[in-house]
Amino acid sequence: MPTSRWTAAAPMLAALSVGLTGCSAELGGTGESTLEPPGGSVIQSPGAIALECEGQSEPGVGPLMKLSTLQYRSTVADLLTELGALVLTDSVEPMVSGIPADSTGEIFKGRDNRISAEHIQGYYNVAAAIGDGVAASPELLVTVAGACAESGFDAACARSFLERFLLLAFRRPPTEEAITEYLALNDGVRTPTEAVRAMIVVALSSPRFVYHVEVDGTAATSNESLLAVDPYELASRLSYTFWQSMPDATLFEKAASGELATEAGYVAELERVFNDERSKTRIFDFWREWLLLDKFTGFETGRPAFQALAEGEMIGEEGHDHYGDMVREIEDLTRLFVFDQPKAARDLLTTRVSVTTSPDLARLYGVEPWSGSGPYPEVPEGERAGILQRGALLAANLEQTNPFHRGAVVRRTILCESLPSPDPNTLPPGSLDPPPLDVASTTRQRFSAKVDGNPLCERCHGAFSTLGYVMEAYDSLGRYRTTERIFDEENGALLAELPIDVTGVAAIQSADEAPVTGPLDLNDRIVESGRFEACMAESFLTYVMRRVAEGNNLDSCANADLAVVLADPNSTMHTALSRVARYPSFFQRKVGPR
Amino acid sequence: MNPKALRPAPVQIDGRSRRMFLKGAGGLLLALPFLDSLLPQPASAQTAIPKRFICMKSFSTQLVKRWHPAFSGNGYQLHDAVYGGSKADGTTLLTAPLGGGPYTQAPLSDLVTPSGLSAILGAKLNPFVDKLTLIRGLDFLPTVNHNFGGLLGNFSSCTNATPCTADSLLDVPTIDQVLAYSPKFYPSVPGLRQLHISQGVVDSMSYTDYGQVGGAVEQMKARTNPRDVFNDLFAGVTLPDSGAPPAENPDRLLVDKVVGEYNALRRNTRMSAADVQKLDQHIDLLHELEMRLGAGVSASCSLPAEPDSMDNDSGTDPTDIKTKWDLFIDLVVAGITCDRTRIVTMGVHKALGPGPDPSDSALYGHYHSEDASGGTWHGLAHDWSNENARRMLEGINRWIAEELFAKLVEKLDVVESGDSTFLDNSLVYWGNELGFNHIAYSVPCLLAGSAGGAIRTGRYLDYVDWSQNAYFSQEDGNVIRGIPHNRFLVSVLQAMGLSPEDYERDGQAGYGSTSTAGKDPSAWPVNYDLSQIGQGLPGLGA
Repeated sequence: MPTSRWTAAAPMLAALSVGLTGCSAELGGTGESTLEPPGGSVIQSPGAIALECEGQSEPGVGPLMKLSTLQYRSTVADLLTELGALVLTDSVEPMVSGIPADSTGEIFKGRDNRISAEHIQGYYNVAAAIGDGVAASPELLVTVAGACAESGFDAACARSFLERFLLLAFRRPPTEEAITEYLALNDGVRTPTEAVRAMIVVALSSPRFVYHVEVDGTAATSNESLLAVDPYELASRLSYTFWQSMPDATLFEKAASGELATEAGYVAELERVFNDERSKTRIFDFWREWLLLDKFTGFETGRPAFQALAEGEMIGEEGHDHYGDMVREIEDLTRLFVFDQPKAARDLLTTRVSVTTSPDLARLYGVEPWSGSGPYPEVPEGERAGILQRGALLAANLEQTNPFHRGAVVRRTILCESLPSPDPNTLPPGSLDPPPLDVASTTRQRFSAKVDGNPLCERCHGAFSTLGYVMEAYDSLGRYRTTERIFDEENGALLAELPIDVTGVAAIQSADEAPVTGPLDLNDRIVESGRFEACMAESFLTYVMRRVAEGNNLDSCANADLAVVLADPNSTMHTALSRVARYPSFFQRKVGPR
Repeated sequence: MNPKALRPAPVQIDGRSRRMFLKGAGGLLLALPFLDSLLPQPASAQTAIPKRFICMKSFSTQLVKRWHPAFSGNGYQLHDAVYGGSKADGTTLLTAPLGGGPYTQAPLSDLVTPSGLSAILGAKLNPFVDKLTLIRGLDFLPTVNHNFGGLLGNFSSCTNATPCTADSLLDVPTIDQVLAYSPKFYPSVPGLRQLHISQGVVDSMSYTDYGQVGGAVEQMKARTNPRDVFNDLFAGVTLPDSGAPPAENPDRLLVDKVVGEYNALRRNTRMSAADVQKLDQHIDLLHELEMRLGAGVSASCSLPAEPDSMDNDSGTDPTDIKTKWDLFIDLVVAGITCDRTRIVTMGVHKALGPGPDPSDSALYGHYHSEDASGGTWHGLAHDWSNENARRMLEGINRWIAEELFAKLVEKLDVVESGDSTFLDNSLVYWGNELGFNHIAYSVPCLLAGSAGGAIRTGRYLDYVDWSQNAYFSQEDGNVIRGIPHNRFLVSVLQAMGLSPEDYERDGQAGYGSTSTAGKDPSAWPVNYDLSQIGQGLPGLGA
């Protein structure tokens, strides 16, 4: 059997309401978290929920992370807004676009912490473009640096500019030492305009701008490597977690006033930030990455057999974007269930609500498109339910489905289990090629014949192939079906129409040997297992913290707690997903070994 | 040649040593900026002529029979005179032995005609035949369809639209990245370590581990906007008046101050060893930026005009395509001759070519995306049995040969030092995504330049073993066993001055995957002699 990435959390999920292995969670509990590490250090985190973890008092190591390129882009945009320099957007945007996009071999691009010459060049180009833009416009110079910048830019004027500008750029008030360093750029050799430009270029290239620098918190009493993040760092954690951008003026104010360091003040700000439109928009980044929605590369509309399958659906025709509609459906549905009409996580797997307004997608589902107001239509009963059976997770490039691919996606992505990729060098030639078309065989029969009886294949395929066979209830376009049509690849002629079998032992839990009767039954088994919620918990925390929980610590404790909360049918995803900012690990930074 | 175009004298510095000096000096240097330009230049850096690697890639099918010479006369005959069946492919039979084994060669000057070397390699290449090397018979060993980095050694990028066995192969950097992070190739980085250019598709052919052997491998993005290319190469660079020393860029002082901030942070006790390593990497890259800003260029360097910003799209407007390529080529040439970079890749996803009506002499835009519908560049590749489609493909590729490759070669063939030109000291490689009709045998390879004398140019080298059976053929090509493409990669790496210890990984000889998994041995050649896989192509070197 494949190993599980959530082994530590799995045992407790059998008894969701009983408690946690190594941790116990008080659902909805509040109150200041006071943790007592083994060394006797104490971190007090107002606003953190009281998670009791057996002997665990430290989060995982929090490495120095750069702003992801997404965060950098958003931050530059917000900075220009705060400076009153939006007019520079057109000249800055090409420079921002030159910075390499976030990417990583695993999910969650924000974890990509690599830097390259192109990053550094891009950061400089952006800084220089903003500095040049301000320097080139007397009006903008006054807006950004104050009217006094026009008339000499004396030390007081420069200090006033720096106090405001560096607060925004560094996301915390500058120290006196920093102001002194920057004042040195106003050396009398440079003109006032050149001095302002120089300050902008240096500050926007600084590690305080480019990285999430968290070195200013309070260390635990006898543990220098465990830091309670300070209010400004906490403000940034909130804004970057949910907005992927810098704090707004209110967050800065709450950090400055000390309100963010109180439980009531923090909870109020968390609620404001989480319910802000920016959170509602940006949180789709999580769903998109977790559910691999960017991986689809398009329908092969040039293939005669695909054209035959998709006849009448207008796929690929001008004005029709079927996959875009499918992705939008997931975005709308998750937004609805998290924010607008909060639901439990399991509802994502079982809902029949259809939110699509696209006639093209609605037709694939056999449902009316939603009008944009009033009650939502429901997909036909007995055919499909939650997100696993929506187009974005079913679409395939070719006229034939690939049940191995579909099954592996469910195991890996939805259940968070590790499946090793096959090594072509250890397999006979052709092992990884799809089985050839056979007019007498369904896709399931062709694929299963390729691996059945071969112990080399069955060792892994036993874990996921049946999941794909069950999903054979949907064709490459995501349409429900009870028979499979076989088309001639060369000319698209219909060669056969065969009944399909969508039953089998899915073994969502290893001990479950009862066959599932179809995709809706598969949904129920997954809900019963709690593994979907556990995987969502693990994935969301990985996305938020930009690190994988490893070992037994506050990170794993948070994982376990979130899995329980998400699996609680009486708890909504709105409650659960905002809860990540209340875990003790959210308030702390563990410095790695020096 | 333009004898007035002389090589600039870049400022050279060992950035690592300098950073260590900064660390040791502590905060004092925050107040006393210490500029790279004040350091003496290493003697070797002052005298060695750098080598450059430029790779241009065209897409989808290549008409193998029309790419290679089909000349007969003067003692040459076609394969048809000796072979029957699909081996009678209408191309020139070579007979002079090459490097041992069943390989053959001929001087390109023997085969050139007024209309060019072949139907695709047109007349505008004729002035440079003595500096060209045409290679036939390079086979990708892994099972592969559409891909990004195959021609440079990475086969991990089969698209989901055309899944292939090679998609499961271990990610390795492409050889341009091996060069980019090799201290032998770049004793110091003169400006930009590398430049990747494309139109339409933003994914480049280049895969990198950023020089961290064993680290994650990432596909690099290409620049699609000429303005971005200009900024990468020349932002902050000013041309001094003739006779004056290179102008100092005032932003070097600012970068020095930024370096001070990074050094201050790395001394913070709340930075872990891993954090410090990350900051060190950043500081190294800032030093590279500092050199880019401060190296300046000599007065003899011709800085190009700053182009307008141009949006990228999937359109096929011929004026837009040609305008961008003209700008890109001028920028690449300026980047090379001003020594702002030494590695360039150019993904030719867009080109001009004829339209569907044979009587229409106008040039139309063509875009190679994954769209395989008829009429698109990719669609033409699927329509291999249609003579009109082949005519259009031939025209597209001839345009690339004459309007991109030949222009690039011509502009680089200006004196750099003594009698040698920038072209002589470079290796310009035109390769292709695949061979004919999505098949990866005999993938095209045209070289220009000798990489500073490492390659003996002016020849047509045929590594096809014509004594073998032809496994498969179509109107536009045939499959006969050639030589692993891996050996070409080794040749390039060695021509650029690298040794096996610089590029071999995990004890495996040579470079790139040798897996033929997925190929049916009864249908495709798989029985290559891998005992020499660590060696370059026989007979290619000078």
